[in-house]
Amino acid sequence: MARSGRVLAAVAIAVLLMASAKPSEYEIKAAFLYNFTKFVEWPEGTFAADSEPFVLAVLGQDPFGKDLDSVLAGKTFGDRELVIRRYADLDELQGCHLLFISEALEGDLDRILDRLGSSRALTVSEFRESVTRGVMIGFKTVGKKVRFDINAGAADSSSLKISSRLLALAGTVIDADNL
Amino acid sequence: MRAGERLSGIGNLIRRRSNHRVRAARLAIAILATLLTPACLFPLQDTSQQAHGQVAPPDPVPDLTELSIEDLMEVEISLPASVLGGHTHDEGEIMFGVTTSIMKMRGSMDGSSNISNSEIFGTFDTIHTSMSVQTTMFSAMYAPTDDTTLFLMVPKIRKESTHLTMGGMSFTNVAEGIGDVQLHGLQVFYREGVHRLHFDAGISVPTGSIDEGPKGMQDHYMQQLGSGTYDLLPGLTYLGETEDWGWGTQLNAVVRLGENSNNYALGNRYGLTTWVTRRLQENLAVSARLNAQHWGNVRGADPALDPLAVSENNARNQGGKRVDALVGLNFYGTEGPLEGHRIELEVGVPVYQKLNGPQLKTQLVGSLSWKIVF
Repeated sequence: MARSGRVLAAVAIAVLLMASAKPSEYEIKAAFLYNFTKFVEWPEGTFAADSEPFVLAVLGQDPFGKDLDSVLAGKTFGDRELVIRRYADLDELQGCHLLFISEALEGDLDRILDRLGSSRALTVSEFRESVTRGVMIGFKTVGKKVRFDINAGAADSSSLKISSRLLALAGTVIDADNL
Repeated sequence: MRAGERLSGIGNLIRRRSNHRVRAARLAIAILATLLTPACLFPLQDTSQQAHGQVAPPDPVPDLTELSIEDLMEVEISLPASVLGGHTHDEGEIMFGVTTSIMKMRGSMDGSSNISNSEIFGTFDTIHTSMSVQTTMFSAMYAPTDDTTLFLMVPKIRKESTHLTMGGMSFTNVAEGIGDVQLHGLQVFYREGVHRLHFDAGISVPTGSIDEGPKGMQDHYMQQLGSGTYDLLPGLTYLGETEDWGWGTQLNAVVRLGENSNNYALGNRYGLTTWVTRRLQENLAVSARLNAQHWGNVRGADPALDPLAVSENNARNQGGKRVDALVGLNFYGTEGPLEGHRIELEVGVPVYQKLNGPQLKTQLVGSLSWKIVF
């Protein structure tokens, strides 16, 4: 038994040695969020003042953790400061320009979208069928790569213009005609 | 001191140690070397600089926001080490695995109390003093959809039992071979946020021998490699998983169908296991698990076994309850030659046992598994 214990201990040490920190799924998704801002055009009048920051909000249980802050540290939206805000539930939600809706709120999605109405927030989520249910961009994992679908019709109804380059990269695009 | 002298000194030091310690050290080094060598043989980074005698600097963590969106789409994500057991796979995934598990038993209990050899000799001629069960499970899984996973498990079992007769003679019986093959289908039927429920429908096919024994004699029920019956293996699993935490609970059962060719059926077995995992790094997680089991006595009796010879021959001394507390370590290779490889280690001890006895009590359980996902 002592010998078995030593073997198990050796394997445990080996496993610890082999482990290494690499970009995680949510570091990559955080980078995608930042990239999305380059391919979406917000309508004039979205920002009340030149000094108003670009607000990226996470609604519900935050799957990014510290990854969102570390990946987006020091980033800007054009000349605007990019700030990250987190809201535990819908009642706390205030104005934002990009809203990531947590998978934990899948059951509340309809209520969230109703509340947002035609606000000028780009909505992004990652649960199944989020895009068909009205979220503008939905992450999905294909094999080991992050991909996304786009509901262009939903973006259009909020007066957000998504570039043709981003649309071309999307796995599935739902346009206004399909809504 | 030159390298040769250093090696010589190390060699002398090693030779002064006992053989036992040397064997243990060699084992540890061999395992470490086996696990670490692929990364050295197939380095992930460009080695051209090393070829010119320069040491490559450590690869800096890239600024992902500097990548184009097309490049980001080509970055492979580090798949998380999933929770222990009860997991399903993404559509199209194939997994092969080998799991070696051990169970060590020594000493006897009757009910929830220990019982001495002399007390057992008051009833039986022979005592079962220890037993080790080593199972090497070969498994193959395929996920035709995100919600369905099919898998096949083929166990190779070695059971070693030591006995002591009233006359003071000790002997060991070994049974080794293929156990009962299992076929399973997992079906996810509920997903909501981080929560998931799935049902496991499995069947065990009686491919394991139930006629093991030395020199043509029949060994007791625990020493057999199979049940001899077709067994249903239903299970219901709840899983919760966030980026850094995983938790879950599983109800499972082994329900024996009918009687085997030796006129008995092993007792049904019911289990409840609950676990929590915590990610330490992207590809490493630790786990803690409680595993409760209840299993019944043998129904019927093997006519070849004398129930007064040894307690384990008695069909009524087979059932029991046990709760094990286990800790584990999961590693998931996410890049290079280790990509898709998964190593899981789990060890535990019983924290509660109540046995229809006299019956051997469990002292240690553990498993080490390697899996590869395509």
